[in-house]
Order: sequence, then C-alpha cells, then structure tokens
Amino acid sequence: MSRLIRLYPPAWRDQYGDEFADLIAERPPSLVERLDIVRGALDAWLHPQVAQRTARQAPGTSHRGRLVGAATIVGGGLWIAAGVAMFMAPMNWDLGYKESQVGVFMVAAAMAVTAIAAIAGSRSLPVNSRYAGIAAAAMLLGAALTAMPWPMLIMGFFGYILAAAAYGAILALSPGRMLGGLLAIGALIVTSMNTEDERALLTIPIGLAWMAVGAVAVWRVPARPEPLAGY
Amino acid sequence: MSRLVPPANPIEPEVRAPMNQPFGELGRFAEPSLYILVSLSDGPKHGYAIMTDVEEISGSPMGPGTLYGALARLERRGLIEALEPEDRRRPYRLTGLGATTLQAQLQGLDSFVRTGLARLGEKAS
Repeated sequence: MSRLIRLYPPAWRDQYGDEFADLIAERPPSLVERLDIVRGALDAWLHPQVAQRTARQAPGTSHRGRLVGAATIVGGGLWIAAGVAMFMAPMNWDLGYKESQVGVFMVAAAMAVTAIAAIAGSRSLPVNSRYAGIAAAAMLLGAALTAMPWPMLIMGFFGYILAAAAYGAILALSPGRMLGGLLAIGALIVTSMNTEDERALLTIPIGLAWMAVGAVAVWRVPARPEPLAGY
Repeated sequence: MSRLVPPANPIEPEVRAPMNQPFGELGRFAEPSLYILVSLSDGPKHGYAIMTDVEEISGSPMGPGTLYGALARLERRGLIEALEPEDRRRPYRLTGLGATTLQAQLQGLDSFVRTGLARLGEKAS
C-alpha cells in the first residue's frame, strides 16, 4: 500500500504521509478508493497545497515553537559555558583536582534545559515523535541523576548522553531536521569530556549542536500563516 | 461536486467575500470540504473518523484521496487546523474562521432549500 502513497509529492508525504498510511491500514481501500488515491496524488502534483519540504505547524505552535527553540539555544549555550567554566576553574592543590563545581552545576542545568526543550519539541515532530519523546524523557531522567552524588552522577551523565545521541538520530530521520545528526555526533564527542583538563571544552560541540537545533526551530516557525492560495 | 454550494450568502456584504472565497475556488473539493467541516463541527476528528462520519452524513463513502485533498485545502485556507498527533493519527478541528464559514454556507443552503421548496409548493398549488 505504501506504493500508492509514494505517488504523492515528497512535501505532501512529509505532511500527511503517516496519518494517510494509518488511515488506509485501518481501512484497506477498495479498487474504487485506490483509483481515488491515484487521482488524489495527481491532484497533489498539479495543485500542490503543501509548501515544499516545510514542516507542519501544529495549532498554537508558533509561540511555543519559538519558546522551545529559544530554550534549546539557552541549553546549548549553557553546555558551552559549562565547558569553559570547568576549563577555567582553578586547581585546588590541597585536594589535587579542579574546583569545577560551578561548571558541573552548569552541565546539569544545560542537561535539564535541553531535555525539557526536547520533550516539548518532540511533540511537533512529523515522524517518530513518540520515540523522540521517550529519548527526551530519558535525557531528563539523566539530568536529574546528574544532580545527585556519585555514582548516580556518572550514570545520569552517560544516560543523558546516550539519550541525546538517540534523540539526535531520531531528529536526523525527520524531514528537514538533518542537524539532529550533529547533535548525535556532539553527544558522542562529549563522552570524552574530562573536567580536569582541556577536554572540558569537549562540551562545545554538543552545545553548538543544541544551539543549531534551537535556531532551526525558531527559524522554522513562520511569522504569519500562509495566505489563501488558488485551487 | 459543487451542487451543495449555494449561489449566494444571505449575510452582510462586508463578510460575504471571505466566506465565498474558500469554497468558490475549491472545484471538485467544494462538496467534500463542506462535509468535512460539518463532520468537524461537533468536535475534533482524525482522518478515519471523518471518513466514516461523512459516510454516515452523506450516505456515500469519501475516498482517501478526496478526503486528504480536501483536508489539505481546508488546512491551507485556515478553515481547519491540525492538533497534536495521537500516535500516527492527527486530529483536525474547526478554526474560528472555519466555523463562521460553515455557518454562512449552511445558512445559504437553508435559504436556497426554502426558496426551492416554496417555489415547488407554488407550482403544485
């Protein structure tokens, strides 16, 4: 049956493909209805109603989309600031390691902010929104554990990282969200972070990736709905 | 397909143009669009629910291609809007403009039907 859906333009499939596939899976079309689908596909090519490769805006998402994007950018910035703070943290020679508590706190804050933004943002994904939501929830759990003492801290940290990598991969599979791939790569890079040396700066890639994802989310939201168009 | 679309709306001139615009240009999707708006008038529905409801209302099935052709047009014109998806299903609901447009269309139909019946009555008597 997916062969029939493939008759439709890519932009149309991006917007309606999932629900359309669900509809014809729930009610297998008769021969007449198959012809109707073919006719509908022809109409979609001749009279496109969906802008090319633009994600659907859910109702009321204009303001929320910007908020989610802005929060994601703030979270990315926190990741970067955390890395710089840990790198710049003074060495405590009595204890033998850096006083990086502020940086670690900022990491936990960055994790929490990006996780909450990801949970909110996952709902507007055109595909795999449920899996993205699960990954984002796992990120939030990881962020919460990171705020706890050792060994919960390290478990939470890596839990967040794995979930963020999964979230990035899911984003990358969604139309128009290729930057999710950068997030997945940034998440893998930050696994090599060390608060005690220059590897603290390995938070920068994931921070930049989050900021890019957030910027796209803000940019994607149109200021005004499309005007009425012809037949 | 456009036989259910009334020739004119008995509403104020200042709101007549926007009311006519969405339906007048919908071609073969005008009547399915009207059925969809009526179906959504009692609450949000996803594609399958709209299809079955329209079948009940009109007595004839609406094909998936026609359904989504009309949905895309209504959504683009701001007469309906999609809600957050439930699994892969995405419910749709009437917007304020959609409700106003539907009301105007139905009022026009009502006037059209009453005029037609009255004339038939005059002829019969």
